[in-house]
Amino acid sequence: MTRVSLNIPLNRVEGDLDIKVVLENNQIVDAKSIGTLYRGFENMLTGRDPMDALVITPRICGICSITHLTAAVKAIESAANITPPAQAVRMRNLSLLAETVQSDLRQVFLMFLSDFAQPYYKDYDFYPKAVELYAPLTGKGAIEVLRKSKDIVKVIAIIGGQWLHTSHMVPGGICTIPSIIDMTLVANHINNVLEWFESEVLGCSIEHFENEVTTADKLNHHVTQFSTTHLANFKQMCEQSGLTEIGRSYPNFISYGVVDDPEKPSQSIIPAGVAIDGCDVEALALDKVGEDLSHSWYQYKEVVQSPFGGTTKPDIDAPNGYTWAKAPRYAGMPMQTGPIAQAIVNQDPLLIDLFNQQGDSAYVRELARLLRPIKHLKHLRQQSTECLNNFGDTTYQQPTELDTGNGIGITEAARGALGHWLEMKHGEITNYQIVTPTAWNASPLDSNAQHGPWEKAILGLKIKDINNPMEMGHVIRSFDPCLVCTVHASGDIDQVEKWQFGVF
Amino acid sequence: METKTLFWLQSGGCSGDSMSILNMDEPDLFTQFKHMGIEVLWHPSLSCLSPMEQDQLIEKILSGEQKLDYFCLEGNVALGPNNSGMFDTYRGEPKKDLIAQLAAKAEYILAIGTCATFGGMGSHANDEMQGVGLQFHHNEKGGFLGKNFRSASDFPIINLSGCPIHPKALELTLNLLIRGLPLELDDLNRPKVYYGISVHNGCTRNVSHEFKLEDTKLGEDGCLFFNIGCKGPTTRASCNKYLWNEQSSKTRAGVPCFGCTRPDFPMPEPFYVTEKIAGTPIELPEGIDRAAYLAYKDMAAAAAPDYLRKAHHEKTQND
Repeated sequence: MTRVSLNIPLNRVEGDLDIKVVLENNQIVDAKSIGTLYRGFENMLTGRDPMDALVITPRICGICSITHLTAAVKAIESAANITPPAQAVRMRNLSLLAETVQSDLRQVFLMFLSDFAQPYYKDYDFYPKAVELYAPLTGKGAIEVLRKSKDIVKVIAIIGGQWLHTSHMVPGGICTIPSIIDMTLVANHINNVLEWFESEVLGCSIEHFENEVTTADKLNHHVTQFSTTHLANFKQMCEQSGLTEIGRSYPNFISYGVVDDPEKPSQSIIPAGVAIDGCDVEALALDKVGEDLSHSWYQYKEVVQSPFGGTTKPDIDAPNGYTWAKAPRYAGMPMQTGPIAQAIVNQDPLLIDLFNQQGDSAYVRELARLLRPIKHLKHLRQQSTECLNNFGDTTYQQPTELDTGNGIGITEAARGALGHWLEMKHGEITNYQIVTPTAWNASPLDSNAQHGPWEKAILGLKIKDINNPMEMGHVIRSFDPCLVCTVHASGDIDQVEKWQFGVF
Repeated sequence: METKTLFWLQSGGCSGDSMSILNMDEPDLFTQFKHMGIEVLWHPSLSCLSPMEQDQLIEKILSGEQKLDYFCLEGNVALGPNNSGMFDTYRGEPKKDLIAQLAAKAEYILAIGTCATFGGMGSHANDEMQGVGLQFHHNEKGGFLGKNFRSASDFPIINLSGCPIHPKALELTLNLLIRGLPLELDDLNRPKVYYGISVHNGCTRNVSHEFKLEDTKLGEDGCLFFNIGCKGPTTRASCNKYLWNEQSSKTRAGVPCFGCTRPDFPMPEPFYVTEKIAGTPIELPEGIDRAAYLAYKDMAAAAAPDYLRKAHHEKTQND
């Protein structure tokens, strides 16, 4: 038996990451997901004006900057009992959805499909097409997606001034005043991207796809009919490379919901919910969210903390610690989050049929992301029409001064469930805890010896070439850690010792 | 044009600068690289090298076998905890070590964004990560590489601050370097071509500023400088000359400038409030005499045209 230990650094876009695995006869028998960067945002916020969370927290992540802004403004509004006006909620929805469409497009095309253009796949039928369309920096499809993804974020620049890192959402609404011309331009940019998505990705209108392509069989039929679309390419590449067979994790899903109802912004049009051990959805109960610190580099008094009253005290010598990520759990259970969770909670018929047939394979997980713009572009169009129809309605009502209270702001980031837990006293932040989607997916072991979702997804995985563990990269990337895998591997255990770090 | 090589590394940051340059126009980043003759050896969110190739690449750069023209660092250099650098590691070792090794080999080094330039997020006194910029810590020369450091082309670190970097700042800089044209730097080693004017220049709300029609709360259409925390007049960048996403800017839209290209960003003071002394901002535009400025402002307010005064008054009354 050959036993090999590898440390595989994953280049990050959101959070530095290493995956440490133990292989026996080329099969992964242990896995540790290691967040390698600590920035200390929670502690930067303590003592500041609550409004400053609107400027500081977007800078946690350059891809879902608007999502952090959304969570922050909702946390403040929840702490101070503020309800924003309907027109402001629509403008916020437009900003958040546009950012998520940008992220989904860039992740699928620039970060996921680009792997199929690697020489690793040179003997596969799809290889020439993958190189032509998806090769990094040169693929025709990659360039096309780059252009469309910067087109959709113009929506945010028009409403909020710039993408990324703007702070136009404020307690009581938005502080910007887009004109009616601006809002027609917003509609135009949405239509441009929508039209491209329909003709080049799906091959049909989003309505047709939503209504007709509702089962795995119908999807097979659809891609035969529209065989030159990106969707057809994606399916072919995933199937031929075996992604339908690998990458299953816990069938537990959590989604915080998206597209806030303008008339009742505490509820979302795409609903929040959880599904445990399958597709049966139950209501989300935020008091069941806890963070387990048993295997993270933090000090703790109680091993499982509620985010309210929770602490973030780094301690690189913490016993059993191996990552800067905490381990969020829902009623003690590890949960997957992201587009697949959103689709299952929203009872999407196609994704549920696929899930019932092959579970949450890497293919199904990534497909959910490729298809998510269907819903999001539809809501973008609808919200922008409603904005125009209600143009002139107030977008800001000045609230009374922020003082004392606790609030939770939740929203659905591109990568899944994002929550900000705010405690403020006399107009000052006294505690701020952030539970990111990547923390759910990339979480380490907990005190019940349960692995985090993507650790679980690679356990048992067989690696063909340990010098290039491509399969593992696909599985991890199907969670959209927003990073491109780089992999360092060696067949000689002595050589990899130098990469080892911490307790293993 | 001779092909130039570029290596992009991310350290203590949010990847927002990478996301921002993907918005480069016109036509797009990938095509611009092609036109400029830039070969991207490595970028963490774009490249797909096999593990062996990536290792060999770094080894070749460090041995001098692979020429490195432009080394771009995005994110600050984390020295914490206790100067160990272990808050940001690369394969179990402090990432700062790799940064120093690559910096020693590059013809030009570009600090991308405010974190890499001045330290940015996580660089203030009580911040745990002890972030510093490549050659500055806030406005103090030195930073990680030291004030006397020069890259192989005898250049200091070229600072491209901004949170995030404006794509135009990188585009202009690369274009000048590639064509061998002079790249003039300001006192903070930033290209004057982008950082030579203030954010105030070109703001569509200038007319309100001119006549002291100052907003008193969020959501109005006047100037944000006196009350709402706008740092446009005290921040150098071309945000209102080269618009964001070719559309707008924060100040045009109604969001105060937070001074994100400044060495002291993020400032400890509240962001949406102007710190004042005797009713006027503590910080006035660079090089201005306070007494003269106040006199001018009062005269300007008195001279405000009716149509503007009326429009601003109506707007502030109605909301």
